[in-house]
Amino acid sequence: MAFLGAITFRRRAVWAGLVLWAGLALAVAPVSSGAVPAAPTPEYQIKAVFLFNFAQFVDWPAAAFADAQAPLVIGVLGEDPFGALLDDAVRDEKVGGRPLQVQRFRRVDDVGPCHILFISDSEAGQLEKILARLKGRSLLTVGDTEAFNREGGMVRFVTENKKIRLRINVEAAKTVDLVISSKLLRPTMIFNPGKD
Amino acid sequence: MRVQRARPIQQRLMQIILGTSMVVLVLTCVAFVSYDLLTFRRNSVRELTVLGEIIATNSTAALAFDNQSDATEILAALRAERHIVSACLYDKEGRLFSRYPAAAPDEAFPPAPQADGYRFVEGQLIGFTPVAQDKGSQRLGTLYLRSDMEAIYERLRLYGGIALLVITAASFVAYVLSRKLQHQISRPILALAETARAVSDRQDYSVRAQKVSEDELGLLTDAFNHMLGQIQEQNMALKLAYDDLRQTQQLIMQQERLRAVGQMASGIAHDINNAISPASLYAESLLEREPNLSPRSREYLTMIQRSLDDVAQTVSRLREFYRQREPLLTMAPVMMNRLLQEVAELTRARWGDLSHQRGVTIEMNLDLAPEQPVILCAESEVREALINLIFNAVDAVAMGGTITGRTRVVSGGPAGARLAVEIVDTGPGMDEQTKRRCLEPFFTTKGERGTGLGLAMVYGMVQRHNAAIEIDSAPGQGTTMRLLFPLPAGEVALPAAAEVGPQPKSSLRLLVVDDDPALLRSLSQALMDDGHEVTTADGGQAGIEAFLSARITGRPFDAVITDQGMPKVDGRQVAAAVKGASPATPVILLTGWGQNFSLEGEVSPHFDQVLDKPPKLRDLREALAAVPPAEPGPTP
Repeated sequence: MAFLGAITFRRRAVWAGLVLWAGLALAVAPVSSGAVPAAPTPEYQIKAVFLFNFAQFVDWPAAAFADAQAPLVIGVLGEDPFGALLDDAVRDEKVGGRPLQVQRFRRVDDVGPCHILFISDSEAGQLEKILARLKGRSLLTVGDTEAFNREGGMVRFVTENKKIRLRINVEAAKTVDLVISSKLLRPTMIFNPGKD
Repeated sequence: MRVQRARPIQQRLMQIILGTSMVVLVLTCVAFVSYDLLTFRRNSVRELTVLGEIIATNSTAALAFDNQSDATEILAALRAERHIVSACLYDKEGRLFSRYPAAAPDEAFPPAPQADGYRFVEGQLIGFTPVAQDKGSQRLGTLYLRSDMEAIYERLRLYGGIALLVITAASFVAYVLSRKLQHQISRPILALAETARAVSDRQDYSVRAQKVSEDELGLLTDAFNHMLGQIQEQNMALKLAYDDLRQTQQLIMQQERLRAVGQMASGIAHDINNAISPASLYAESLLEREPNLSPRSREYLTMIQRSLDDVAQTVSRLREFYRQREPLLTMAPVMMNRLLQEVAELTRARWGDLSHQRGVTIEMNLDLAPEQPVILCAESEVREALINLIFNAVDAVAMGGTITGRTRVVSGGPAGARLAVEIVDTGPGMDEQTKRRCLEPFFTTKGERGTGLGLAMVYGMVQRHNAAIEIDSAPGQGTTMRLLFPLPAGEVALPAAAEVGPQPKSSLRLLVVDDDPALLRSLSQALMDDGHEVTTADGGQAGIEAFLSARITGRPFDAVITDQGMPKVDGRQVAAAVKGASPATPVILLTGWGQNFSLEGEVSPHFDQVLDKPPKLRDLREALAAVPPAEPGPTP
């Protein structure tokens, strides 16, 4: 029926609009913050939740897990800035049927099976070494130092206007077979090695 | 075809057809629209659900990573869907996170997310969709969408337009089609109506409705035609019966009239005859018995006698009005020349004196056959017929003219020699139609004066005599009425002419009975002058007593002369009594054609002779001559 045809057509148009707007949103990045004032949240509480949320927007290759029931491990390398916040964020949560586990590592060599690794500011000096050491492992590296992306880290927390934003080095993730959801990429800034 | 009359049924058929198709169309449209709106509502819900899913899926990252501006931009994309009135995202805690339109106040949105799913609220479709990255994974927030139903109304308007268009077009098509098709039904009905109107307007039952088809309407037409046929038949029968009845009624009325006239006439005739009888008898007696009369007296008496004869003849014509026909004709040889002369004389009053009084001259000529033809006929009937013909001729020449009475022998022709009796007048003549119809009973050209029976009676006589009637007439040419009687073969003996003045016989003892003293006296006087011995009796009862007592005293009467019309005991009863006592005694009845005129048709065994009043001495003598001479009664 013509009507239905028109409807489906319109739906497609909506799709197109969304994609377009998504593109625009990427280009101009965060222009305005919402008018709704967010309750003041301690910085690391938000970051803890974000770390957990990465689990939902990133796909790991199957080889990254020992088996189907193997937990998804979020690791913290170096000084732990979260305290109990990270444990609170993942408690009783599951992603893709896997339980979540928080592990803390003193040194890079301690890093065992791990899927998301927050590299603490304390390790800023040896970041290059750490990343080189982890090279080849399907491991999403997260940090908040300024040079994090440049050194080869994948996700960096950036604080802008009291909001935490993400900057992602997509190339780095790709090389280790990590698939980052395009949705995650939209509200973030893409690290461009040539520019940054 | 009369359009005015035709309109209602055609119109109604059209209305039915159009109305039906319209209702069907409207119902169809309503059903279709209802179904479509229902599915459209469902589809709207589904579409909004899908849209909600898309937005929710796209919003996961914005919610997960607390990016309000990104969420707002995602929602802003809803501008492309103009039926979305408002939309918003709530975060995990149920707080308003971002909104569409971006400038909308808080009040435009529910303060907190409600149950998931879509529903219609206040004519608008609202829904809550959970926002989560994967199914079963942690809920990141809630999407709220609100869509007005303008789409539905838009659709309704569109449908309304289409339905209107379809109905209009369909109506037009139905109108055009029904105009053609309704003729199949309306035409036979209209034909029937036309026929029915012809019947009722013109009372013309001979028209028939035209049958168009073999269906119920055809059946109706057949039944209608059949009914018409029956009505026509019955109408015809009714008309015939009515005509019959009318004719009978007229006949009866005519007869009634004749009877009334006849009764009156008979009464008058009776009185006049009674009244003139003494005068007649005395005049005759004086002329006969007084030789010493002066020539003057003799002339005067002769004049008186002739006048009285004329009176008697005039009265005798009255008789023609009421005398009933003899059931059997007694044919006797009659010399036609003499009869015609008599008739001319009888009718003299009409063509002679009466017309002279009016200053008109009517000439009567007789042209008689030298052969002195004699035919066999009932003289009285022929006389009557001739009188009628002459009366008609007199009426025809009422303004003056000539009437010719003619007898002549016509020989040759298939019928052999015949005697033609013609009454010819020089009047205005008759046109074809009058000529054709003039013999019909009750046909008259004389208006109230005519009975229409005269020529009919003539025709009846003609038929009874095996004769023929011919009418020669044309307007302005006068009229010839010709009666053709067959001439008998061979000689016909005429009755011997009565001897004039037979000698009185020997004295008879006579009883004269009458209720009129003057007649009684004059009659007894005349009879006594003839030498008879006369006893008078005043009335029937007295007469019977006198007769019976005379027999007892041994001096019976030789004959009885009695009047017919008398109060209480009439002549017939007297005769019966006389014959009862003495069958041999002759009874002579004198009749003034009194009240009981039906007597004429009867043959009474008690009468030996019947004499008309006023009696003539000669007739009396003739009658008495037949009476046997007086026998000496038994002497006591």
